[in-house]
Amino acid sequence: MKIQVVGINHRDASLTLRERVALSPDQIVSAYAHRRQIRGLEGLVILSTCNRTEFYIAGDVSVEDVLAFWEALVAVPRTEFQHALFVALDLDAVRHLMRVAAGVESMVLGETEILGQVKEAYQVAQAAGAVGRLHRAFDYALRVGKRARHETEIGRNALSVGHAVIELANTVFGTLARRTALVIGAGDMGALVARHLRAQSLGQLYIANRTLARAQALAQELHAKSVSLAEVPSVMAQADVVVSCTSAPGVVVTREMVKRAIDGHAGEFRFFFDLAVPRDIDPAVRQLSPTIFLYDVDDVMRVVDANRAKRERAVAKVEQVIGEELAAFHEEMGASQVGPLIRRLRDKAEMIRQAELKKAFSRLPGLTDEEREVVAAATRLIMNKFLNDPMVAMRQWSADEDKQPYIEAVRELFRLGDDPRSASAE
Amino acid sequence: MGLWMMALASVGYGGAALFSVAQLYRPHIERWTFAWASLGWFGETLWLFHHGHAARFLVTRDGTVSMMVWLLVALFFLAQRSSLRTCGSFLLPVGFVLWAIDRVMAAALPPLMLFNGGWRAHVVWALVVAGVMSFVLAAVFAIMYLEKERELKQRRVRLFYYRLPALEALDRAMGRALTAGFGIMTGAGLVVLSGFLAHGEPWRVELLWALYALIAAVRYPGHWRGPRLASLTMVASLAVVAYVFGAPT
Repeated sequence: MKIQVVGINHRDASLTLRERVALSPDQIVSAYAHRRQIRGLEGLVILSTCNRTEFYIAGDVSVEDVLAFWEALVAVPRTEFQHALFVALDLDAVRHLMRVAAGVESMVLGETEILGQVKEAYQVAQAAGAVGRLHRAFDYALRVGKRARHETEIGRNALSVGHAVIELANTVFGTLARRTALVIGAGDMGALVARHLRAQSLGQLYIANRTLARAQALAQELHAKSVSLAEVPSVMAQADVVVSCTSAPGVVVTREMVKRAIDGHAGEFRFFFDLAVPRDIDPAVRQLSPTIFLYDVDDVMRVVDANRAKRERAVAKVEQVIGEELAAFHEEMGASQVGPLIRRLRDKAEMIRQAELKKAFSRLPGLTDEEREVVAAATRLIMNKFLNDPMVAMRQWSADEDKQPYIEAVRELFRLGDDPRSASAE
Repeated sequence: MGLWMMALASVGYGGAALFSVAQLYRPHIERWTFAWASLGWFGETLWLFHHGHAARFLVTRDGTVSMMVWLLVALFFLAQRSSLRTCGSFLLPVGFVLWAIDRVMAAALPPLMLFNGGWRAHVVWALVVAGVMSFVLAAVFAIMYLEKERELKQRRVRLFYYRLPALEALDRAMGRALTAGFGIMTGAGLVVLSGFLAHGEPWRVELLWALYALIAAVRYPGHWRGPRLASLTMVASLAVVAYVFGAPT
């Protein structure tokens, strides 16, 4: 069975191009409804995310037919995206699908969303009855995705500043649930970090900004409390995590301010993040207590870099998982392809046996039912014993690429013809 | 026979200590740590029965240390189901070092002289074992705390940043071990006092109790946490090890 993937992704196509040829959920449903326009199709799954649009296809389908189908769907001439096209066949196509599910092919290495997107694409195709002969390939790919996340560190540790702030705070506090955080600065970075913090089930989130209205707007969106910069010292006394990212030219959080805030609670853990350039928090804050941690933007980026290196090291392990699952898939597919041939060989032998038995019984009319049964059993036994060795050999050949001509030879030798099942499918 | 059991325990604990450290780098070899620790624990269990039967291990110092090591490894097994499971990478090497020193110095160790307090002697022995155990456990958490904190303070994340539990969890675990130890040693002190009142013969547990009292005082009224408490616990644990291996009793 032929499996192929035709598509474009972030490696070769610009965002503008990806946007133009991407398929919306409605377009995907429509594509499944009209899939019979593709000649020879035995299965179709379309994966369309912000980084890729890929057609996974089973059957003897030409790339030209797929492109014609695609350009009709998105109303973009193929000449505009053909240069960025990516095509892989058979095991390479399945390997690619596995790599996509594992996050190895993602723009952000090891990102976790892609596994859910692959699963959803598979489910939508299933609902439309379009998966056909791709079921096992997707089963294997989803298994690879799960194994990659459980058995390797491909999806662990933060790769963005926002996530890294949460990760670092968690290495001190364990969890941020019921903690108090203060974000000083309601600009882009402040809003980003505040959103990440809000997602941690914080006890209380305060947002301070020079322009109070801006802090209020963000606080309203995130169910937080807005405070003015003048209120920062009093709020800081309660805060376990303080993130400062203003565009102020000088220090916003001074040593004295922190000293007053922690007075009487110097033994409590506190994490300060200074994501501003120039810096907002006086570095001398670190000396106030051994339980105070202060990271500036370079420190946070160093953690992100270390995490990225860690994920890159995990790729080799993921490739190992892919290798194992691909070998199992190959074996299974080989066995399933040789199955119909074996069945036809048996059917043919059985047909001959029945025909010859019928002739023999007509020449021996005096046989009792018991004697007829003995003769029939003997012929069945001869047939089974004769076919056993070739069938075992054919199953073994199915897993070996070099032995494929032998299987074809069996087909020719016994005149078994084409697989009627594959011809009638889809 | 006893030698064979001791060798089994030594090999098992040695392997477990090595694998437990390697497991920090290769978490998937965790099962091997468990297997080696189980082998050592099995060997030591047999040895404790054999030794206890032959020499009444309760009254020997080396037997007492062995019992502590046995309990440490039992704690490692219990910790496998908790969020502090990585403590095994520190607990098992500490246990192995204690076991090795105990086996090498067994003959040279001064005898353990229990006071003639009947049941009280056994109770005090059990409480002191538990008290020392709590101290060793707190010291293990202190080492973990200091290592992780060191990486965070240097702002260059490496192994411990990824592998060890959160600082607050380690600080809390350290505090709980010390609090439990203080309670246990206070209980031991009271039993000793009652024995002294009944028989006029003391059994010295005041060093351990005083260390615990000092740490409890700095942690609670003094609000010490984090690195200061961890460092003090580490220093105090050295005194405890000295006490276990030969301080007058």
